[in-house]
Amino acid sequence: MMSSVERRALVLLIALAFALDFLFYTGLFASDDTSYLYAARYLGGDRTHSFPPSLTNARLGINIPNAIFYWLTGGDVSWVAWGNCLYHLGLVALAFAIGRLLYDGLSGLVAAGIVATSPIFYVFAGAILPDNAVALWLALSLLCLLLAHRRTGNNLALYVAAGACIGVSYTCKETGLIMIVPAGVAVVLSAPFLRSSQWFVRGVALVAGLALVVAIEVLWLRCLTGEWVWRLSLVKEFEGHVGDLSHSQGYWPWERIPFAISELARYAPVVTSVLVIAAIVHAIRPGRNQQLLLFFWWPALYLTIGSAGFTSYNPPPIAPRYYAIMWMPGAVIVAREAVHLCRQLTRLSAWPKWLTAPLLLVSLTIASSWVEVQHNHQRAGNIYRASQVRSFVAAYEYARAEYPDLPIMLGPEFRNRMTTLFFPRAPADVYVHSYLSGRQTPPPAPPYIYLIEADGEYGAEGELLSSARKITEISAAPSRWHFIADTVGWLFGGDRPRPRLDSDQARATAVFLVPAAEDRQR
Amino acid sequence: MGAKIVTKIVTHISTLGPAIWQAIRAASASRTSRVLVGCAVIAVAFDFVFFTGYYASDDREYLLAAHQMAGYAEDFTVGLASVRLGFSLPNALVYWLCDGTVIGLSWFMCCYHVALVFLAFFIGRLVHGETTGLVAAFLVAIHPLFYMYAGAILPDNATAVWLAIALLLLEVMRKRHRALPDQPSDKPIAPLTRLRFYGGAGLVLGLAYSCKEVGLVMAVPVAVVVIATNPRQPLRWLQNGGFAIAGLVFFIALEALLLRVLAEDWVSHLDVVDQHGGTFMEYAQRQGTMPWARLRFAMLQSIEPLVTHTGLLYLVALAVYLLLRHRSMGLILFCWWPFLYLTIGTTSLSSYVPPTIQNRYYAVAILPAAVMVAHVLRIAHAHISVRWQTLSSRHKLLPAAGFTVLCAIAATAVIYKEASHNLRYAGTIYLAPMVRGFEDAYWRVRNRHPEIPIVVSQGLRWRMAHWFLPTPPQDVYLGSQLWPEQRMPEPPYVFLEDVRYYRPDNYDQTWQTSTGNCARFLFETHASTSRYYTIRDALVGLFRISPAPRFGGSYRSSVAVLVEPRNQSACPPMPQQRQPVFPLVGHYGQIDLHFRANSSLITWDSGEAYYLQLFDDASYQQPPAHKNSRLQSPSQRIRIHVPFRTESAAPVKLVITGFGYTADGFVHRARSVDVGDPGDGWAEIELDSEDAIHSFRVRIAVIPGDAGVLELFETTAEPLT
Repeated sequence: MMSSVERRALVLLIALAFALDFLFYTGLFASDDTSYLYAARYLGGDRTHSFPPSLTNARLGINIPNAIFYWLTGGDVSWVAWGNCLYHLGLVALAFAIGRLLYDGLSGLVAAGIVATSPIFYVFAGAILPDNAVALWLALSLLCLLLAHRRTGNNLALYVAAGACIGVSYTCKETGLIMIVPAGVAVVLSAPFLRSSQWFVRGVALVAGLALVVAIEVLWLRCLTGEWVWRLSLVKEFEGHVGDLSHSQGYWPWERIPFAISELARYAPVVTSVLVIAAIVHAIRPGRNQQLLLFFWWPALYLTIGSAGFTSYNPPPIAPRYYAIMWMPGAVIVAREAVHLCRQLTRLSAWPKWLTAPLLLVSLTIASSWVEVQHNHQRAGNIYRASQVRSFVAAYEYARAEYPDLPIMLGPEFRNRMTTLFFPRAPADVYVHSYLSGRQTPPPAPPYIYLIEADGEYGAEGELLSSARKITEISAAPSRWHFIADTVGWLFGGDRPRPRLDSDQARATAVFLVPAAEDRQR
Repeated sequence: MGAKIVTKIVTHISTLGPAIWQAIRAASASRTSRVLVGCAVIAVAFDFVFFTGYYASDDREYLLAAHQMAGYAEDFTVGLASVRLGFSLPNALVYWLCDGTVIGLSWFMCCYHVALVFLAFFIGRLVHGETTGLVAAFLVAIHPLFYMYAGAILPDNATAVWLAIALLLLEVMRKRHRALPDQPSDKPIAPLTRLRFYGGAGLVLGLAYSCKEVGLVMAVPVAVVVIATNPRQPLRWLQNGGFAIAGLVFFIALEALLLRVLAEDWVSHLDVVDQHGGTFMEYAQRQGTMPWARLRFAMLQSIEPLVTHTGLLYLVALAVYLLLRHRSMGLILFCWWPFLYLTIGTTSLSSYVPPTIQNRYYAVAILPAAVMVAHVLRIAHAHISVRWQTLSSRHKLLPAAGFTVLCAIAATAVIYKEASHNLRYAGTIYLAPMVRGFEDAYWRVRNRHPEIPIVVSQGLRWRMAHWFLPTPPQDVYLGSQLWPEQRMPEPPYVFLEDVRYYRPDNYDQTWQTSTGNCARFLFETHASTSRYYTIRDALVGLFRISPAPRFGGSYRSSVAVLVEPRNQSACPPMPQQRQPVFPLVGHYGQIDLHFRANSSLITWDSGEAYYLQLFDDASYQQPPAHKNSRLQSPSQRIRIHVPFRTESAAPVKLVITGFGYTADGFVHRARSVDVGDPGDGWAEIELDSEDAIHSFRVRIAVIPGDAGVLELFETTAEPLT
């Protein structure tokens, strides 16, 4: 049973994780999430468009929860993104559970604290991305394996559950599948090798769980798309694009390992260093936990120097968020080593009595998380194309406020990327995309407001009319840090400015007005 | 030696943390402390939602006084605000600490409300026990008369705080006297203790007077309480009264000395007040001269609009309290005396000059009232729950705990209803809407044209100059006496004007013909005046990334005009028609309402013919101050024609009410119109009256069905034979 202190501390850590998710919330970032949103929309019951067998559509593990949020909120894109924060909160609880299961409450709380304050999780928590979801399912799988290992008997249900969790993580993202290797090794190590068939039975149970989920996924996709979809073959479509990227990150291990560490340190300079050191120390110290080490080192090595192909060496691209899957086991390892070290320190005779091990650990966690929040604050709500979304929304609201009577037409770049902002239905006087509206509506007749990206790749040729007049160029503050600071200042400052739209990181959007119908020239 | 000292300091500091932590833990371990802190948090939450900030009215003088006292100006202007030292001196200190920010001072005002919460608890606990104290603290936290004005620079809550402290001191002494019934007469409470408490009460009374002059009239209840504490010992109460008077006189003398130092001349507080007395005399006379009329005005027109749901409860509970055996005379006097004085009292002893009735003035009576109401509620609850227990055991009804929960739910519902009713006024007191409109325009100009200087119009500058305290930016011309060194900039500059005063024709004459400049209309802003909608918008903005639905609420506009030097060619004509002149866009839920009116027909001058009111969800469009559209020829029967166009795909119901105004009153009739199909439509309303109708107006309530756009056109009325 959890003590009341543990319970309160865990609630506090979950609240802290949510506060960080709130601060770093992104919402729509007009990149991968656009495709996920179309899938969520389809699965949420809106069959305006079809469901082609694409890679993003096929990732049912994240599309189904997204669809549920979409359906529950009546098609609100923002709330779908908020729903994704739950993965981070779940990871905090799981880190505590695993830490406490293996060691003690304090270790569990420290692990939960590290997960709650890790930028790898919170920077991407409020965005529609599969990495935190994969990490959550893999953490559940690890928990099942640890429980099975600690209990007497075969515990086949737990091994089936572990396999099923790996299967669900695979339905979120293909990387999940690689974790069958450390899970399999853990199963083999869990039973006396060659002396009994226990390990074999458990291994079969693990694979059965995985196979069951994969079979359900294949059947479900068959129902949705009308054809048999093998997801790993869909991944190959991206190989060319991804291959170029990963090769630019280095080919040889001595190139890729420093690159990966530097990429991770860009987000989490403190925790990355601590994580690497703790994982090495834990591996060489007596009393190490094999499952934890396997679930940490295997994905770490695979994502850095592994290969996505069997026939040739295709290293996967390195992106910090991909490493979320090894972060949770890593956090437990760090917690274990940190608690051990602090306890040793506090036993020293010269150590001040008031500085107890929990106080020291809390102080260190707060200090490191503060450093990392400061380090990342410019990234708050600013990942990928989020800045473009901010500037578009600012321009759109400006046009609505200043010219409420005129219809709005989106330029091709915006039409492609911002359509999902208007889910479930765009206003009648906003021409976004026929794909969204579900009918082939003609573009509005001038006069109308035309919104395009100021420095977009697509020029205005062929879209604008000769009489087009530039109204304004809007700069939006993409950093949520600034936005929140401005909003709070605004709420507390009755005589202070409204939230400013400008900032040092602004991207611009131009608004054009086409004033006269007779000037229309194509 | 140095190292030793440092070690000592470090050791002390390291023990300080645990000591503070222990103290916090000890306080938080007590349920009473936690409930009390909870009440304070509720008060702060209310103050936050209803926060006003700068409102360009009385606060201008208080700001100027703080500015001068904090040493930001060389002169000291003797005025009503600057002689109210009890209020202005703390303000000056905060102003100085905040480095001259108006907003910091406004937030400081909320401290008075929080202090009142704690004082209510202490007084309630002292007089009627801990439960009463807690309930009183809660009642004070949620009282509209406190939170509505808490975030504005006004002296009423401050006066209430000092009077509450005076009451507390008196009640402490009364309690001590009662605790010693068998004390030999030659061994009473030590004179020094009595001097401390009664002298303190007098001193605090002086502070209250120094915040606002109503404090002085409270000398009467103080005197009565002093006498009533030792009614059979004239010498004793004479002595105690002497202590109290000494305290009061000491403070008045101190105030006079301070004013002498600040103003470099002897200044009489009451003389300064007397000079301002005539300003509101007419206003006070209009509120009635007979006691009954004034009481009616106070209860129904001044207090009732804010205290809608709890007002009756207060009245009943206060009446019941008078019948209780263990009533406190101090509470009764500190509540009823200022209430009666502020309603039917006189500000002159030679003739009957009633004071002006304003709801916030009654803040001084609320705290004692809250304590009395809390006591009555506690007794009532105790009685009813005992009866209920008997009944429930007999008839197997809800247990007593359940009954308490039911009471709590009912109380929450009442409080919620009252607060939600008042939300529309959040942050809109006095001229705050004008300030919001100005702020919007000002920051928009700053963002869009950072290089161009700003000239604030004459109509706005005397209201808004104090907003720029302590020093305005160099490129903002205010023409205020506060900064006589400012010079009007040469064109080009942006001219900011309140929308009510904006006349294109005037600018043609003033700016184009006579000065040889060209003026060009830049934009008109619309700022949400209600803080409720501002907060809702901001919260939605924090959780959404897509274009957020803007919630409705009243809007206030300002206008920006760009003035440029005349070129060789003639100036382009100024727009003779503002398009749109009254573009109120109210968004609520999924309905978009676009209001447009033709300026040639309906302008701010001739009055708005319609305004929007959304109901059912307390989202209410407060009508702007307007005149009615006047008919060309008065008639006993008129027909009002309301044309509209809807682009709504789903049905929308309009409830159109026409008002016809006669010399003695008005007649009205409502009509409900179901708008199904998109397109043009109209509604007609006929009004009959025995007297001639000379003007009319229309109210349109929209009951949203689904997303849609409603466009309203000019409303006309024709006389019928």
